Amino acid sequence: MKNTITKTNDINLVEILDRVLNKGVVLSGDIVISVADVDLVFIGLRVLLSSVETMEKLKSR
Amino acid sequence: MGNLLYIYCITLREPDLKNSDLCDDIFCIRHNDIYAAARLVSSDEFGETNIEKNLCKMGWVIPRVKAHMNINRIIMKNMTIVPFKFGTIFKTEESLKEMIDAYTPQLMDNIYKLIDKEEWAVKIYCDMNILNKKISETSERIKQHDQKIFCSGPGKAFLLKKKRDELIACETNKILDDYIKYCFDKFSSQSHEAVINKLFTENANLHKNKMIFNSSYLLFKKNVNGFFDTIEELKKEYSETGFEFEYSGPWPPFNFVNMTEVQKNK
Repeated sequence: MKNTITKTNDINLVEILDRVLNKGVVLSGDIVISVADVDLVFIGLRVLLSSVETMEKLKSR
Repeated sequence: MGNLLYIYCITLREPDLKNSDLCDDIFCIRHNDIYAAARLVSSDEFGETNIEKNLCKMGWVIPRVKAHMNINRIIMKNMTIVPFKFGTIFKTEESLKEMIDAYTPQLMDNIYKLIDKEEWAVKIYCDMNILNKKISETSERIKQHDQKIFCSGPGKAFLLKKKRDELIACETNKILDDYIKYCFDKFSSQSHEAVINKLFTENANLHKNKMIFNSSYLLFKKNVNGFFDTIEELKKEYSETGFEFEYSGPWPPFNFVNMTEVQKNK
């Protein structure tokens, strides 16, 4: 069980993005991405996931 | 090779970075007995104006976010880490050391809190059709309402049937709140710390069923197996409600780092 991220080893990209972009030590580096920037990523992700979903629907037809 | 310092995490010991290709160009900067795992990155990618543009390109973001996570995971296999948020950059080593000077007590508090512990995530999804069916079969309120429908004429029965859907939705929300609170209390009682995270939006939820609960737990390593047993017990307990429990970990402890920012004098 140890050293596996999930039972099935299926790492959910959204889960990774959520942790890495929204959490952890947030300190003033000389450059650190802002909350607004993180929102841009999630907008991009939604577009990406929507297009993946559309492709899957097309494939299953 | 670039000229900016990208920080992944800090540790109390020098991480062993030799055994992974991913860590080839990662190195450590030691200051005040704290090691920062860093990589040199280029200002073309991570400079103030360019990072904002690059964040719009998922083809750029995804591999770098995955690398950030994986490097933290590799380092945490052998030691306690305090993970940094993606894209924390210092222009010089001196500037990084100034940050460590300003935050040494807080960074140390975080490291000591995280020693011998792991972050695990638990999500609960629900097949709402199964739950609604279960509620309509077992709820006393719904049973009484059905009796009213049965005894009413066609016009009144039509209106009461419409109200039945609202009643089921109301009962469902109440039951979900009770169940989730019960599960969270069970999990929290075995954790050093626990947090309830935001539910993923529909677009971001890749699971076939609705996400109803998203949580993370900081567990003593010795308690992890007991925690799994609790999940298995709850799975059995809720097997007929349409609940599906999904757990993952150990994650770098992103959810359990607490830092209060000190005003920086530029």
